Amino acid sequence: MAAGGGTANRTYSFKVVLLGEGCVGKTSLVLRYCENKFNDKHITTLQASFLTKKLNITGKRVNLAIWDTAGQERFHALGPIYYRDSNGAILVYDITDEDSFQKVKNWVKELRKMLGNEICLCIVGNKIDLEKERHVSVEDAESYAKSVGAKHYHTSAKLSKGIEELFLDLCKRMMETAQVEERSKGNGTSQTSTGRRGVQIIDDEPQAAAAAGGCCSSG
Amino acid sequence: MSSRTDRRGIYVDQAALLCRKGCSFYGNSTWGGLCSQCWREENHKSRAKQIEEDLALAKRLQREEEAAYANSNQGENSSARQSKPEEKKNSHKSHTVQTGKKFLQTIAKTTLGRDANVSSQAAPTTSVNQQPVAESDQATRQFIDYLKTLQKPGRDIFKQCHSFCHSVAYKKDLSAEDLSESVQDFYQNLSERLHNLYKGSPDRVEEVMDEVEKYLTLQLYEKAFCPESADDERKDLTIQKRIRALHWVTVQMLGAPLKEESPVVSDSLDKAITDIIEMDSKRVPRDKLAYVTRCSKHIFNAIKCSKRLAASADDFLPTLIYVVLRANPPRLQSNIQYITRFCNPKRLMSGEDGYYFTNLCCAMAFIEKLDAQSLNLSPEEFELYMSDQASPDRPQARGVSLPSSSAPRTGPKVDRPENDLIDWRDGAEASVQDVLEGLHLDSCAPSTSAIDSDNVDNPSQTHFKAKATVISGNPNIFSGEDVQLDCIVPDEPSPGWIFQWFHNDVPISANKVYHIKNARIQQSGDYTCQGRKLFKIWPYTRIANLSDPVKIHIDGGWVLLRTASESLITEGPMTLTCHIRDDPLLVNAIFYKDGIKIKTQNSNDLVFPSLSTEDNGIYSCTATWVKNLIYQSAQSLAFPVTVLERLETPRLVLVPDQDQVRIGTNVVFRCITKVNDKEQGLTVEYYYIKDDNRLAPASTTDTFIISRVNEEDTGNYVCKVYVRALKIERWSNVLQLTVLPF
Repeated sequence: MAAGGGTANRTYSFKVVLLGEGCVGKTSLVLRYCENKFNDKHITTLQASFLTKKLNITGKRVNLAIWDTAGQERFHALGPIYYRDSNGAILVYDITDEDSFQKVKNWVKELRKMLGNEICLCIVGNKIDLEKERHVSVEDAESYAKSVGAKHYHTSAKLSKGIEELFLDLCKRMMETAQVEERSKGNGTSQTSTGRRGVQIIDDEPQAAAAAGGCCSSG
Repeated sequence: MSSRTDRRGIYVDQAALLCRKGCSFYGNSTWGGLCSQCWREENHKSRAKQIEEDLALAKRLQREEEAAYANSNQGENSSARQSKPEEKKNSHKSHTVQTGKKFLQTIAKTTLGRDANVSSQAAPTTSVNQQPVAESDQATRQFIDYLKTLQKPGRDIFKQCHSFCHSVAYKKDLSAEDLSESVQDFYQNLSERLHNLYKGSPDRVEEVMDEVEKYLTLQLYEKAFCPESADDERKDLTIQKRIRALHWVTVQMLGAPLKEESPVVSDSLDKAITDIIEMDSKRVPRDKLAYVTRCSKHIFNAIKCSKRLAASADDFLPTLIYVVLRANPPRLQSNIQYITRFCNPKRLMSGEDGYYFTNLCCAMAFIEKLDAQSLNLSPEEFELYMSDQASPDRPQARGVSLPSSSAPRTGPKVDRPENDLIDWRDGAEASVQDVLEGLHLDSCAPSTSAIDSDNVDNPSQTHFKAKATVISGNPNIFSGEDVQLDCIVPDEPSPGWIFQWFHNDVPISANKVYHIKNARIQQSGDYTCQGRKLFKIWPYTRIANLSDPVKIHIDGGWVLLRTASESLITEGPMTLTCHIRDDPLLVNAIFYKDGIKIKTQNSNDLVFPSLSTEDNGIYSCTATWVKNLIYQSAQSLAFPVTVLERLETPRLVLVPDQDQVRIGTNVVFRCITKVNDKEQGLTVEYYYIKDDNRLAPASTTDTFIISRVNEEDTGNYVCKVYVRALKIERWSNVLQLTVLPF
């Protein structure tokens, strides 16, 4: 759902979902990124479940909306409602917790099934400050990521390591994907982010019934 | 009325929710409070006359609007084409719209509906139908006003929107999805044009699109909200029943990080509940979304106050689910569908509103599919609760035995109350400061107490008595209402007490204030509290013994009788209130005492200016009221009234109880009385009299001892009590004492 006109002065809007089990540090990760704070008593935001960030990448404006998702097992089935229409997914696991990596694998499978290759996947091993207690080997994680067409990152929200890089890289990849999509669509006049292909309404002859083919909304 | 007994949640005007005919489907204010079925029936009758009136109104409004707007726009007349099909369609009904086009779609719908050719007889409910017309008329006006600020493009936009409305409104058998598809296509095309028009200012485009959405959805609301073609209404009912059946689900089961006992938290939750219910009252998708967002912000506040950390989705979703379960929002499915179908997609998919809305969709999906596993319950337990055969204790309860299968789950909690008392110390202290600062964070205070629990029962403690009082609400309430209890230690009011509340002797909460929110009938009973205060030095512990119970009665019916005052004292006043659920318009209230009618009146309150013991008795009332133009009547349960004397007549007794004693023994008299007055601690003077002779000077103790009695002490004894401050004296019974020789 990249938004942007044909002109150079365009703005991309991306939706990124954040997936990961309970204690892997999803919240810390985004709060570090958006507020540059970690476990701070003075975090001003009331919430860390929906955050936005405006970036400027190579002269292009990017609006990033980060959607946190409930990571508890009991809510697993609700995933598709969250990640519908997202451009990117950040899948976080805790390097000291083998289980959390398994969960990531489950999500990857699901995301690929539901959204195909249009979504940019980032697998993130968080808590590298606890390297001594590592239970997920770097090789395993990276080779897995490669095998599913995702990129792997190492981060520490606590030490603020690898996070800027993660988001910047993700944004660049999403921009590329959006541009490819646009080119394949043709002239890329679509300004809205809906992905709907409507019929052009010609002045006051609305063709309301002539619904667009092939864009049945899944909801 | 029995169907109402288990209702929970905060109620908005009932008229807006259930069908006026009482068929248990949801009503719709635009259908005069009826559900679609009853509306169809009712409408049959009133339609014909309605048509005439609406047409007249339509014509008038049309001329006005058209003249105002089109005049400024001469030479660009495009309306001729549109007016034709209308004329055709209207012509079979003896009323023809002569001039120009009609753009009030609600009217169009009324006049063109399936029942339009019904003969004109009996049309009593015109007023209900007028409202949407007026609203959509107003919307049109506002829309035009807004578009005027856009100059020429404004006219163009209006033309498009207007003709789009027409084209859709005349399509019969348009399914909800088709309608949605059309509207979404329209949005997209219009927005593309606007982007070309207002290059480089996407905010402007969004602003216009918001206005367009408002105009279109108001015009099409009747057709678009809960359409007959979709089975939204049935689903609404299903989910409503489902939520009702899940009334027992607690915060803990959902894993929501809430400290419900904290007043700030519960207050935020109440606001969230109100907002999610209010969503139904709005007609424009964006306005509905705004309520979802407001609800979410209150939830974040509740979480922040409970956790002192910014809320993540892990916290937010379970809390939202809890709020939805408590609120049982009206027409949840219809609202979600309506927003999904007709909201500006940009707002829905990427904005903050969209995020909260997505969570609401998740909450509904979760509730629909919820099973034992998703609440960490055993299937047996889940079944028990679902079938209402058992009910888990309310959120704060712990140490309560649940069916055996849950033993592992509750096991670790069983030994907690004692620990909690200590843990809560800082919480309690913090709460005092927080209240002073107007910032209540009581439950978030970390436990830093260094006190060893071994000291808790130190024998050197001093004893006090706790007192449980009602600080807001009334001990007699309807299910769904709230009451707040406070625990105090009147003789030792300094801060630092750690309290424990009990409901029918089961420990329930370790807070000072216990809030019964959204009360359920099962929560009726005796509420008691006790207190403990810990010190790092001697005496280590101070105990406030268990209070006298506050009796809470939670009524599942329609009418209850109650009094506002905690104690009824002779010569004092009493107001008996015949309280009706939701406070509808009272017709009359009949009061009974001991089964005999004593008063019929048209106000809820029966005032007794000055009570006497003769007013003791069993009272009840029967109320008649009007709701949705229907008279209803119901009787309250019996309400016992016991009037206390300000100074109770004393009883003179021997301790131990006997009336014959041997010479040489010690005789102990006690003169038992009680002062019931607002003023506490009044001094009672005791006089002991034998055969009309005062035995000793007035004393302030209720005990009088004759050591080593002899035969002369035989005689009639009485005691007299006197309260100087009230100038009241009371004489006791006569006690005959016989002193027996050896």
